[in-house]
Amino acid sequence: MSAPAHHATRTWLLLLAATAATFAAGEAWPAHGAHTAVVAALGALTLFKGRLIAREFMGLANTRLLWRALVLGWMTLVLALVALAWWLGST
Amino acid sequence: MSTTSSAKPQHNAPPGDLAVWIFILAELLAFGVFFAAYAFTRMRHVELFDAMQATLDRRAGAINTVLLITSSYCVAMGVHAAQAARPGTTRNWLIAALACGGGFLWVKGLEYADKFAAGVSLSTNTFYMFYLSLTFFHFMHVILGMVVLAILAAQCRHGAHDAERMNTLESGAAYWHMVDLVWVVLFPLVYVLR
Repeated sequence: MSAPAHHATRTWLLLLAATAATFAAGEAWPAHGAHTAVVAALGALTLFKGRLIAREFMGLANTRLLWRALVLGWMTLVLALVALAWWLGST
Repeated sequence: MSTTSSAKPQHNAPPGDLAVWIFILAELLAFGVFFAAYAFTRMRHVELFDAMQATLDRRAGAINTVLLITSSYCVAMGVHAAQAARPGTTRNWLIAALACGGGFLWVKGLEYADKFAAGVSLSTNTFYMFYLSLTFFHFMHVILGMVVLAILAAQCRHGAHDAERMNTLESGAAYWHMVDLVWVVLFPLVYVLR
């Protein structure tokens, strides 16, 4: 297996692990308190998954910063808006 | 080229056709507006959204996430095979990606059938209006992506993709990865966060 193909396999396994963690968080959602921490952790996990897909699968790791910034900036902005809405909804 | 390593030289443009990337960015913008609208609407109907989310099949959402991630991996491997001038291997990886995409449509179709049998529609409530329209919008993107992958797989028979002619394959691959990227946000947003 070539080095890039090895990277793809590692990326795939990391994405599967992150998906399992996301699902587990949904199954074990705390009844009281700690919601903010879980929402923040899931947001960070989702950003991690998006970064892996953009860099390793979409092939943006070695392109100009502009392209990575556009895709990851989109994801960061969306997740920040979701976090803001969740925070406002809990107050 | 998909799945680059840090040892590779830097390229100015992303893999594939620039026009496809502009289309991808426009699609991301549309989904981003949709996601923000969902989140800020939930802000005013927290109890309704949490109660309705509990009626969703989170396991089906997770299975679909695994299927799309795996299909993206298959497409990335297909691109690698094309760079190595192995059209048969490229075709097999693309067919595997298509099978995963078909699995996604099947699981999602079962979810829709369950909801429709229970009388759920766009007008049931605000949550289901968002759930159905957002997931169906993505569903249509999966179908379009599968049409693209099928065309790319068929082109392998004619040796259309190799290290010197990667543009079409890389463009289709980038679109498919975008479909995956959007679902990676949609799954926790709609099925998990509460």
